[in-house]
Amino acid sequence: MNMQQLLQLMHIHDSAFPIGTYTHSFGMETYIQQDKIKDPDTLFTYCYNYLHSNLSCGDGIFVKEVWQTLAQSKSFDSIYTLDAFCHAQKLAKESRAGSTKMGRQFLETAVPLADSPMLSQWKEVVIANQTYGHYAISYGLYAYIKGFSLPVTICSFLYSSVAGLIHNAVRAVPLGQTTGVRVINDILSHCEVETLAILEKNLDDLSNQAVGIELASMAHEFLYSRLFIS
Amino acid sequence: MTPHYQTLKGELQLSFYKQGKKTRMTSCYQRSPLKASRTLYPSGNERASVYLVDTSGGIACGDYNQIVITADHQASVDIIQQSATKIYPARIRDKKSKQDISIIVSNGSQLYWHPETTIPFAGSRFQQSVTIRVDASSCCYFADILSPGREKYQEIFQYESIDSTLHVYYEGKRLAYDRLYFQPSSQEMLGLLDDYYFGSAWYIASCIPRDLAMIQQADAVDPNVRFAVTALDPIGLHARWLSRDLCLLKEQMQYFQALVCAD
Repeated sequence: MNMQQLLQLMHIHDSAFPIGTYTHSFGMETYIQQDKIKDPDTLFTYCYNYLHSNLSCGDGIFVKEVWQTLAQSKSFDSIYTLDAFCHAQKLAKESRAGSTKMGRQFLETAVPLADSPMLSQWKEVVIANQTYGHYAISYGLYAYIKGFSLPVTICSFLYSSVAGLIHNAVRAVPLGQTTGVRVINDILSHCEVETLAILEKNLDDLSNQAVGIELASMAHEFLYSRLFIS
Repeated sequence: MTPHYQTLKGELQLSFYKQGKKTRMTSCYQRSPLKASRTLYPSGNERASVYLVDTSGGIACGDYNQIVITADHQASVDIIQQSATKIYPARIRDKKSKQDISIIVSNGSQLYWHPETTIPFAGSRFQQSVTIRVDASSCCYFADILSPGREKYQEIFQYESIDSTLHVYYEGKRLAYDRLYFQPSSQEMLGLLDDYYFGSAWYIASCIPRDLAMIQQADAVDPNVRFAVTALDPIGLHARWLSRDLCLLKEQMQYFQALVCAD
Protein backbone atom coordinates (compact mmCIF):
# COMPACT_ATOMS: atom_id res chain seq x y z
CA MET A 1 0.00 0.00 0.00
CA ASN A 2 1.48 3.34 -0.99
CA MET A 3 1.19 6.56 0.95
CA GLN A 4 -1.64 7.88 -1.22
CA GLN A 5 -3.69 4.71 -0.70
CA LEU A 6 -3.10 4.84 3.04
CA LEU A 7 -4.32 8.42 3.14
CA GLN A 8 -7.42 7.58 1.12
CA LEU A 9 -8.20 4.65 3.40
CA MET A 10 -7.86 6.90 6.45
CA HIS A 11 -9.99 9.51 4.73
CA ILE A 12 -13.02 7.23 4.11
CA HIS A 13 -12.86 6.08 7.74
CA ASP A 14 -12.52 9.56 9.18
CA SER A 15 -15.28 10.21 11.69
CA ALA A 16 -16.22 13.28 9.64
CA PHE A 17 -16.73 11.22 6.49
CA PRO A 18 -20.53 11.29 6.34
CA ILE A 19 -21.90 7.80 5.75
CA GLY A 20 -24.05 7.65 8.87
CA THR A 21 -22.14 5.13 10.96
CA TYR A 22 -22.89 7.11 14.08
CA THR A 23 -26.64 6.75 13.52
CA HIS A 24 -26.77 2.93 13.41
CA SER A 25 -26.33 0.44 16.22
CA PHE A 26 -27.55 -2.63 14.27
CA GLY A 27 -29.41 -3.95 17.30
CA MET A 28 -26.87 -3.00 19.98
CA GLU A 29 -29.14 -0.30 21.40
CA THR A 30 -31.70 -2.98 22.33
CA TYR A 31 -29.06 -4.72 24.46
CA ILE A 32 -28.03 -1.40 26.01
CA GLN A 33 -31.62 -0.60 26.96
CA GLN A 34 -31.92 -4.08 28.50
CA ASP A 35 -28.83 -3.26 30.56
CA LYS A 36 -26.95 -6.21 29.07
CA ILE A 37 -24.23 -3.94 27.71
CA LYS A 38 -23.24 -1.77 30.62
CA ASP A 39 -19.46 -1.84 31.12
CA PRO A 40 -16.22 -2.49 29.21
CA ASP A 41 -16.43 -6.28 29.66
CA THR A 42 -19.96 -6.68 28.33
CA LEU A 43 -19.22 -4.25 25.50
CA PHE A 44 -16.14 -6.23 24.51
CA THR A 45 -18.03 -9.56 24.62
CA TYR A 46 -20.82 -8.14 22.49
CA CYS A 47 -18.42 -6.64 19.94
CA TYR A 48 -16.34 -9.81 19.83
CA ASN A 49 -19.45 -11.89 19.11
CA TYR A 50 -20.63 -9.36 16.54
CA LEU A 51 -17.25 -9.55 14.82
CA HIS A 52 -16.81 -13.32 15.05
CA SER A 53 -20.39 -14.54 14.61
CA ASN A 54 -21.94 -11.90 12.39
CA LEU A 55 -19.45 -9.80 10.37
CA SER A 56 -16.99 -12.60 9.78
CA CYS A 57 -19.63 -14.92 8.35
CA GLY A 58 -21.73 -12.21 6.69
CA ASP A 59 -20.71 -8.80 5.37
CA GLY A 60 -17.01 -9.62 5.62
CA ILE A 61 -17.48 -12.44 3.11
CA PHE A 62 -19.45 -10.17 0.77
CA VAL A 63 -16.63 -7.59 0.82
CA LYS A 64 -14.15 -10.31 -0.10
CA GLU A 65 -16.39 -11.81 -2.80
CA VAL A 66 -16.94 -8.43 -4.49
CA TRP A 67 -13.21 -7.71 -4.51
CA GLN A 68 -12.35 -11.13 -5.94
CA THR A 69 -15.18 -11.03 -8.48
CA LEU A 70 -13.96 -7.70 -9.84
CA ALA A 71 -10.43 -9.04 -9.99
CA GLN A 72 -11.72 -11.60 -12.50
CA SER A 73 -14.27 -9.56 -14.43
CA LYS A 74 -15.28 -5.92 -14.53
CA SER A 75 -18.89 -6.81 -15.33
CA PHE A 76 -21.49 -5.84 -12.74
CA ASP A 77 -23.65 -8.91 -13.38
CA SER A 78 -22.09 -10.97 -10.61
CA ILE A 79 -22.04 -7.94 -8.30
CA TYR A 80 -25.80 -7.59 -8.72
CA THR A 81 -26.17 -11.22 -7.66
CA LEU A 82 -23.99 -10.66 -4.60
CA ASP A 83 -25.96 -7.53 -3.70
CA ALA A 84 -29.26 -9.42 -3.96
CA PHE A 85 -27.86 -12.25 -1.86
CA CYS A 86 -26.68 -9.74 0.76
CA HIS A 87 -30.20 -8.27 0.79
CA ALA A 88 -31.85 -11.67 1.29
CA GLN A 89 -29.51 -12.48 4.16
CA LYS A 90 -30.33 -9.32 6.10
CA LEU A 91 -33.58 -10.35 7.74
CA ALA A 92 -34.10 -7.49 10.18
CA LYS A 93 -35.81 -4.63 8.39
CA GLU A 94 -33.83 -1.85 10.08
CA SER A 95 -30.44 -3.49 9.57
CA ARG A 96 -31.29 -4.14 5.94
CA ALA A 97 -32.36 -0.54 5.43
CA GLY A 98 -29.37 0.73 7.43
CA SER A 99 -26.97 -1.18 5.23
CA THR A 100 -28.43 0.24 2.03
CA LYS A 101 -28.59 3.76 3.47
CA MET A 102 -24.94 3.62 4.48
CA GLY A 103 -24.03 2.19 1.10
CA ARG A 104 -25.81 4.97 -0.75
CA GLN A 105 -24.40 7.67 1.50
CA PHE A 106 -20.93 6.20 1.03
CA LEU A 107 -21.33 6.42 -2.74
CA GLU A 108 -22.72 9.95 -2.56
CA THR A 109 -19.62 11.06 -0.71
CA ALA A 110 -16.93 8.87 -2.25
CA VAL A 111 -17.82 9.02 -5.95
CA PRO A 112 -17.11 12.75 -6.44
CA LEU A 113 -13.71 12.23 -4.81
CA ALA A 114 -12.73 9.02 -6.53
CA ASP A 115 -12.50 9.96 -10.20
CA SER A 116 -13.54 6.46 -11.25
CA PRO A 117 -15.98 5.82 -14.14
CA MET A 118 -16.68 2.37 -12.74
CA LEU A 119 -17.63 3.68 -9.30
CA SER A 120 -19.77 6.39 -10.93
CA GLN A 121 -21.52 3.76 -12.98
CA TRP A 122 -22.18 1.69 -9.85
CA LYS A 123 -23.64 4.73 -8.13
CA GLU A 124 -25.91 5.34 -11.12
CA VAL A 125 -27.38 1.82 -11.04
CA VAL A 126 -27.86 2.05 -7.27
CA ILE A 127 -29.60 5.42 -7.50
CA ALA A 128 -31.75 4.04 -10.33
CA ASN A 129 -32.75 1.17 -7.99
CA GLN A 130 -31.43 -1.44 -10.39
CA THR A 131 -29.64 -2.92 -7.39
CA TYR A 132 -29.75 -2.38 -3.62
CA GLY A 133 -26.28 -0.94 -3.04
CA HIS A 134 -25.50 -2.51 0.34
CA TYR A 135 -22.57 -0.94 2.15
CA ALA A 136 -20.44 -4.11 2.13
CA ILE A 137 -20.85 -4.40 -1.63
CA SER A 138 -20.02 -0.76 -2.38
CA TYR A 139 -17.11 -0.84 0.06
CA GLY A 140 -15.59 -3.89 -1.66
CA LEU A 141 -16.04 -2.24 -5.01
CA TYR A 142 -14.44 1.01 -3.90
CA ALA A 143 -11.50 -0.79 -2.27
CA TYR A 144 -10.86 -2.83 -5.40
CA ILE A 145 -10.94 0.27 -7.61
CA LYS A 146 -8.54 2.06 -5.29
CA GLY A 147 -6.11 -0.83 -5.44
CA PHE A 148 -6.26 -1.75 -1.76
CA SER A 149 -5.07 -5.30 -1.20
CA LEU A 150 -7.71 -7.87 -0.23
CA PRO A 151 -6.48 -8.38 3.36
CA VAL A 152 -6.33 -4.62 3.93
CA THR A 153 -9.82 -4.23 2.45
CA ILE A 154 -11.34 -6.88 4.69
CA CYS A 155 -9.48 -5.81 7.81
CA SER A 156 -10.31 -2.12 7.41
CA PHE A 157 -13.97 -3.01 6.87
CA LEU A 158 -14.08 -5.15 10.02
CA TYR A 159 -12.21 -2.58 12.07
CA SER A 160 -14.38 0.35 11.00
CA SER A 161 -17.59 -1.62 11.56
CA VAL A 162 -16.69 -2.66 15.09
CA ALA A 163 -15.02 0.63 16.03
CA GLY A 164 -18.17 2.44 14.86
CA LEU A 165 -20.28 0.31 17.19
CA ILE A 166 -17.94 0.97 20.11
CA HIS A 167 -18.04 4.73 19.51
CA ASN A 168 -21.83 4.52 19.53
CA ALA A 169 -21.83 2.46 22.74
CA VAL A 170 -19.62 5.05 24.41
CA ARG A 171 -22.35 7.62 23.76
CA ALA A 172 -25.32 5.39 24.52
CA VAL A 173 -24.34 3.44 27.67
CA PRO A 174 -22.59 5.91 28.44
CA LEU A 175 -18.93 4.99 28.89
CA GLY A 176 -15.83 7.14 28.98
CA GLN A 177 -13.75 7.81 25.89
CA THR A 178 -10.81 6.04 27.51
CA THR A 179 -12.92 2.93 28.00
CA GLY A 180 -13.96 3.01 24.36
CA VAL A 181 -10.39 3.33 23.19
CA ARG A 182 -9.36 0.42 25.39
CA VAL A 183 -12.12 -1.84 24.05
CA ILE A 184 -11.11 -0.95 20.49
CA ASN A 185 -7.51 -1.76 21.33
CA ASP A 186 -8.57 -5.14 22.74
CA ILE A 187 -10.51 -6.00 19.59
CA LEU A 188 -7.69 -5.15 17.16
CA SER A 189 -6.00 -8.56 17.24
CA HIS A 190 -9.38 -10.23 16.67
CA CYS A 191 -9.91 -8.12 13.54
CA GLU A 192 -6.68 -9.56 12.21
CA VAL A 193 -7.67 -13.13 13.12
CA GLU A 194 -11.06 -12.77 11.45
CA THR A 195 -9.49 -11.21 8.35
CA LEU A 196 -7.35 -14.30 7.91
CA ALA A 197 -10.42 -16.50 8.51
CA ILE A 198 -12.47 -14.61 5.88
CA LEU A 199 -9.71 -15.03 3.32
CA GLU A 200 -10.35 -18.77 3.54
CA LYS A 201 -14.14 -18.45 3.28
CA ASN A 202 -16.57 -18.24 0.37
CA LEU A 203 -20.32 -17.88 -0.16
CA ASP A 204 -20.90 -21.40 1.18
CA ASP A 205 -19.69 -20.13 4.54
CA LEU A 206 -22.32 -17.39 4.81
CA SER A 207 -24.22 -17.90 8.02
CA ASN A 208 -25.42 -16.15 11.12
CA GLN A 209 -24.58 -17.42 14.55
CA ALA A 210 -25.54 -14.19 16.28
CA VAL A 211 -29.29 -14.77 16.44
CA GLY A 212 -29.56 -12.70 19.62
CA ILE A 213 -28.09 -9.70 17.85
CA GLU A 214 -30.42 -10.19 14.91
CA LEU A 215 -33.42 -10.55 17.20
CA ALA A 216 -32.34 -7.34 18.95
CA SER A 217 -32.09 -5.65 15.59
CA MET A 218 -35.61 -6.77 14.74
CA ALA A 219 -36.91 -5.59 18.12
CA HIS A 220 -35.15 -2.20 17.82
CA GLU A 221 -37.86 -0.98 15.46
CA PHE A 222 -40.35 -1.13 18.32
CA LEU A 223 -38.30 0.41 21.14
CA TYR A 224 -40.11 3.24 22.86
CA SER A 225 -37.21 5.70 22.77
CA ARG A 226 -34.16 5.41 20.54
CA LEU A 227 -30.89 7.17 19.92
CA PHE A 228 -30.12 5.23 16.74
CA ILE A 229 -31.95 4.53 13.50
CA SER A 230 -31.22 0.81 13.70
CA MET B 1 -12.50 -53.50 14.40
CA THR B 2 -14.69 -50.58 13.37
CA PRO B 3 -18.27 -51.06 14.54
CA HIS B 4 -20.93 -51.06 11.82
CA TYR B 5 -23.82 -48.71 12.34
CA GLN B 6 -27.02 -49.09 10.37
CA THR B 7 -28.17 -45.86 8.74
CA LEU B 8 -31.63 -45.02 7.44
CA LYS B 9 -32.88 -42.99 4.51
CA GLY B 10 -36.40 -41.80 5.15
CA GLU B 11 -38.52 -40.26 2.42
CA LEU B 12 -41.86 -38.56 2.41
CA GLN B 13 -43.43 -37.01 -0.66
CA LEU B 14 -46.91 -35.64 -0.15
CA SER B 15 -49.12 -33.74 -2.58
CA PHE B 16 -52.31 -31.92 -1.70
CA TYR B 17 -55.01 -30.67 -4.07
CA LYS B 18 -58.46 -29.33 -3.48
CA GLN B 19 -60.94 -31.75 -4.99
CA GLY B 20 -64.59 -30.92 -4.69
CA LYS B 21 -65.05 -29.20 -1.36
CA LYS B 22 -62.10 -30.70 0.46
CA THR B 23 -58.35 -30.73 0.32
CA ARG B 24 -57.19 -34.26 -0.45
CA MET B 25 -53.81 -35.89 -0.19
CA THR B 26 -53.55 -36.95 -3.80
CA SER B 27 -50.22 -38.70 -3.57
CA CYS B 28 -48.19 -40.07 -0.72
CA TYR B 29 -44.85 -41.78 -1.11
CA GLN B 30 -43.33 -42.84 2.17
CA ARG B 31 -40.23 -44.73 3.04
CA SER B 32 -39.47 -45.83 6.56
CA PRO B 33 -38.79 -44.43 9.07
CA LEU B 34 -40.87 -41.48 7.80
CA LYS B 35 -44.61 -41.87 7.55
CA ALA B 36 -47.64 -39.63 7.13
CA SER B 37 -50.92 -40.05 8.98
CA ARG B 38 -54.14 -40.28 7.04
CA THR B 39 -55.78 -36.99 6.18
CA LEU B 40 -57.83 -35.57 9.03
CA TYR B 41 -60.39 -32.80 9.02
CA PRO B 42 -60.46 -31.63 12.65
CA SER B 43 -62.16 -28.33 11.94
CA GLY B 44 -64.88 -30.03 9.95
CA ASN B 45 -64.28 -27.90 6.88
CA GLU B 46 -62.18 -28.29 3.76
CA ARG B 47 -58.86 -27.84 5.58
CA ALA B 48 -56.78 -31.00 5.82
CA SER B 49 -54.39 -31.94 8.62
CA VAL B 50 -51.63 -34.50 8.34
CA TYR B 51 -49.20 -35.64 11.02
CA LEU B 52 -45.61 -36.44 10.12
CA VAL B 53 -44.25 -39.43 11.99
CA ASP B 54 -40.69 -40.67 12.40
CA THR B 55 -40.94 -44.28 13.59
CA SER B 56 -37.23 -44.51 14.37
CA GLY B 57 -37.54 -42.06 17.24
CA GLY B 58 -34.90 -39.70 15.90
CA ILE B 59 -32.18 -39.04 13.37
CA ALA B 60 -28.96 -40.94 13.96
CA CYS B 61 -25.59 -40.03 12.54
CA GLY B 62 -25.51 -41.06 8.87
CA ASP B 63 -29.31 -41.01 8.59
CA TYR B 64 -30.89 -38.84 5.94
CA ASN B 65 -34.52 -37.72 5.88
CA GLN B 66 -36.03 -36.09 2.84
CA ILE B 67 -39.46 -34.49 2.97
CA VAL B 68 -41.16 -32.90 -0.05
CA ILE B 69 -44.62 -31.39 0.36
CA THR B 70 -46.62 -29.81 -2.44
CA ALA B 71 -49.85 -27.87 -2.04
CA ASP B 72 -51.54 -26.98 -5.32
CA HIS B 73 -54.95 -26.14 -6.80
CA GLN B 74 -56.30 -24.21 -3.78
CA ALA B 75 -55.28 -26.82 -1.26
CA SER B 76 -55.49 -25.85 2.38
CA VAL B 77 -53.41 -27.99 4.70
CA ASP B 78 -51.83 -28.15 8.15
CA ILE B 79 -48.66 -30.22 8.45
CA ILE B 80 -48.02 -31.21 12.04
CA GLN B 81 -44.87 -32.82 13.37
CA GLN B 82 -46.05 -35.59 15.65
CA SER B 83 -43.15 -35.51 18.07
CA ALA B 84 -39.83 -33.87 18.80
CA THR B 85 -36.97 -34.59 16.41
CA LYS B 86 -34.17 -36.12 18.44
CA ILE B 87 -30.69 -35.85 16.99
CA TYR B 88 -28.59 -38.72 18.29
CA PRO B 89 -24.87 -38.51 19.12
CA ALA B 90 -22.52 -38.75 16.14
CA ARG B 91 -20.77 -42.10 16.21
CA ILE B 92 -19.52 -42.21 12.62
CA ARG B 93 -16.53 -40.08 11.72
CA ASP B 94 -17.30 -37.20 9.33
CA LYS B 95 -21.01 -38.11 9.14
CA LYS B 96 -23.96 -36.03 10.24
CA SER B 97 -27.66 -36.50 10.90
CA LYS B 98 -29.24 -34.89 7.85
CA GLN B 99 -32.69 -33.67 6.89
CA ASP B 100 -33.96 -31.83 3.82
CA ILE B 101 -37.41 -30.29 3.69
CA SER B 102 -38.90 -28.83 0.53
CA ILE B 103 -42.25 -27.06 0.52
CA ILE B 104 -43.96 -25.81 -2.63
CA VAL B 105 -47.19 -23.85 -2.31
CA SER B 106 -48.93 -22.65 -5.46
CA ASN B 107 -52.16 -21.79 -7.22
CA GLY B 108 -54.14 -20.29 -4.38
CA SER B 109 -53.03 -22.78 -1.74
CA GLN B 110 -52.27 -22.45 1.96
CA LEU B 111 -49.80 -24.57 3.88
CA TYR B 112 -49.06 -24.17 7.58
CA TRP B 113 -46.23 -26.14 9.17
CA HIS B 114 -46.62 -26.72 12.91
CA PRO B 115 -43.27 -27.59 14.46
CA GLU B 116 -42.14 -29.76 17.30
CA THR B 117 -38.82 -29.24 19.00
CA THR B 118 -35.51 -30.36 17.54
CA ILE B 119 -33.40 -31.77 20.39
CA PRO B 120 -29.71 -32.23 19.65
CA PHE B 121 -28.16 -34.75 22.05
CA ALA B 122 -24.65 -34.32 23.41
CA GLY B 123 -22.08 -34.99 20.70
CA SER B 124 -24.60 -34.78 17.84
CA ARG B 125 -24.04 -33.18 14.44
CA PHE B 126 -27.14 -32.02 12.56
CA GLN B 127 -27.47 -30.55 9.11
CA GLN B 128 -30.84 -29.37 7.84
CA SER B 129 -31.92 -27.62 4.68
CA VAL B 130 -35.37 -26.13 4.28
CA THR B 131 -36.54 -24.68 0.95
CA ILE B 132 -39.88 -22.92 0.68
CA ARG B 133 -41.34 -21.82 -2.65
CA VAL B 134 -44.50 -19.75 -2.70
CA ASP B 135 -46.28 -18.03 -5.57
CA ALA B 136 -48.16 -14.76 -5.34
CA SER B 137 -51.57 -16.41 -5.02
CA SER B 138 -50.60 -18.64 -2.08
CA CYS B 139 -49.36 -18.46 1.47
CA CYS B 140 -47.12 -20.49 3.71
CA TYR B 141 -46.37 -20.49 7.42
CA PHE B 142 -43.28 -22.38 8.53
CA ALA B 143 -41.80 -22.54 12.00
CA ASP B 144 -38.94 -24.26 13.75
CA ILE B 145 -37.92 -24.77 17.40
CA LEU B 146 -34.37 -25.60 18.47
CA SER B 147 -33.61 -26.83 21.94
CA PRO B 148 -30.16 -26.44 23.52
CA GLY B 149 -30.15 -30.17 24.29
CA ARG B 150 -31.60 -32.56 26.85
CA GLU B 151 -32.08 -30.35 29.86
CA LYS B 152 -33.00 -33.21 32.20
CA TYR B 153 -29.64 -34.82 31.54
CA GLN B 154 -27.78 -31.52 31.87
CA GLU B 155 -26.88 -31.76 28.19
CA ILE B 156 -27.08 -28.06 27.46
CA PHE B 157 -25.15 -26.87 24.41
CA GLN B 158 -23.17 -30.09 24.28
CA TYR B 159 -23.92 -30.88 20.66
CA GLU B 160 -21.04 -30.65 18.20
CA SER B 161 -22.78 -28.61 15.53
CA ILE B 162 -26.12 -27.48 14.16
CA ASP B 163 -26.12 -26.28 10.58
CA SER B 164 -29.56 -25.23 9.42
CA THR B 165 -30.16 -23.41 6.16
CA LEU B 166 -33.47 -21.96 5.07
CA HIS B 167 -34.19 -20.55 1.62
CA VAL B 168 -37.42 -18.76 0.85
CA TYR B 169 -38.37 -18.07 -2.76
CA TYR B 170 -41.33 -15.91 -3.64
CA GLU B 171 -42.42 -15.97 -7.26
CA GLY B 172 -39.15 -17.68 -8.07
CA LYS B 173 -37.01 -14.91 -6.59
CA ARG B 174 -34.94 -15.39 -3.45
CA LEU B 175 -36.71 -13.59 -0.64
CA ALA B 176 -34.72 -14.74 2.37
CA TYR B 177 -31.64 -16.76 3.20
CA ASP B 178 -31.08 -17.81 6.75
CA ARG B 179 -28.25 -20.13 7.65
CA LEU B 180 -27.72 -20.77 11.32
CA TYR B 181 -24.51 -22.43 12.26
CA PHE B 182 -23.88 -23.19 15.89
CA GLN B 183 -20.82 -24.78 17.37
CA PRO B 184 -21.07 -24.33 21.12
CA SER B 185 -17.85 -23.31 22.77
CA SER B 186 -16.78 -21.75 25.98
CA GLN B 187 -17.28 -18.26 24.56
CA GLU B 188 -19.80 -16.06 26.30
CA MET B 189 -23.20 -16.17 24.61
CA LEU B 190 -24.15 -12.48 24.69
CA GLY B 191 -25.69 -11.78 21.30
CA LEU B 192 -25.72 -15.44 20.28
CA LEU B 193 -28.23 -17.92 21.72
CA ASP B 194 -28.54 -15.84 24.91
CA ASP B 195 -31.55 -17.59 26.31
CA TYR B 196 -31.34 -21.21 25.19
CA TYR B 197 -34.50 -22.21 23.29
CA PHE B 198 -34.73 -20.66 19.88
CA GLY B 199 -37.89 -20.36 17.82
CA SER B 200 -38.31 -18.92 14.37
CA ALA B 201 -41.29 -18.46 12.09
CA TRP B 202 -41.86 -17.36 8.53
CA TYR B 203 -45.13 -16.16 7.09
CA ILE B 204 -44.99 -15.73 3.35
CA ALA B 205 -48.08 -14.24 1.76
CA SER B 206 -48.88 -11.37 -0.55
CA CYS B 207 -51.07 -9.84 2.13
CA ILE B 208 -49.49 -9.57 5.56
CA PRO B 209 -50.75 -7.81 8.70
CA ARG B 210 -49.84 -4.14 8.50
CA ASP B 211 -49.66 -3.36 12.18
CA LEU B 212 -46.46 -5.08 13.23
CA ALA B 213 -46.19 -2.93 16.36
CA MET B 214 -49.44 -4.45 17.58
CA ILE B 215 -48.12 -7.96 16.98
CA GLN B 216 -44.82 -7.08 18.65
CA GLN B 217 -46.58 -5.76 21.74
CA ALA B 218 -49.12 -8.56 21.89
CA ASP B 219 -46.52 -11.31 21.70
CA ALA B 220 -43.87 -9.74 23.89
CA VAL B 221 -45.60 -9.49 27.23
CA ASP B 222 -43.58 -12.10 29.15
CA PRO B 223 -40.13 -11.13 30.40
CA ASN B 224 -38.94 -14.74 30.06
CA VAL B 225 -39.32 -14.67 26.32
CA ARG B 226 -37.56 -12.35 23.94
CA PHE B 227 -39.53 -11.89 20.76
CA ALA B 228 -39.34 -9.75 17.66
CA VAL B 229 -41.07 -9.65 14.32
CA THR B 230 -39.87 -7.97 11.15
CA ALA B 231 -41.06 -7.42 7.60
CA LEU B 232 -39.18 -9.07 4.77
CA ASP B 233 -38.65 -7.24 1.50
CA PRO B 234 -40.86 -7.04 -0.51
CA ILE B 235 -43.37 -9.30 1.29
CA GLY B 236 -43.58 -11.67 4.22
CA LEU B 237 -42.88 -11.71 7.94
CA HIS B 238 -40.15 -13.27 9.99
CA ALA B 239 -40.29 -13.75 13.76
CA ARG B 240 -37.79 -14.98 16.33
CA TRP B 241 -37.95 -16.01 19.95
CA LEU B 242 -35.32 -16.77 22.57
CA SER B 243 -36.49 -18.26 25.83
CA ARG B 244 -35.50 -20.42 28.76
CA ASP B 245 -39.03 -21.80 28.98
CA LEU B 246 -40.06 -24.18 26.20
CA CYS B 247 -43.75 -24.25 27.12
CA LEU B 248 -43.93 -20.48 27.10
CA LEU B 249 -42.06 -20.35 23.81
CA LYS B 250 -44.49 -22.77 22.16
CA GLU B 251 -47.45 -20.89 23.59
CA GLN B 252 -46.20 -17.61 22.17
CA MET B 253 -45.38 -19.15 18.81
CA GLN B 254 -48.90 -20.55 18.55
CA TYR B 255 -50.33 -17.19 19.51
CA PHE B 256 -48.22 -15.49 16.85
CA GLN B 257 -49.34 -17.97 14.23
CA ALA B 258 -52.99 -17.46 15.10
CA LEU B 259 -52.48 -13.70 14.95
CA VAL B 260 -50.77 -13.46 11.57
CA CYS B 261 -52.60 -16.26 9.82
CA ALA B 262 -55.99 -14.94 10.87
CA ASP B 263 -55.71 -11.89 8.60
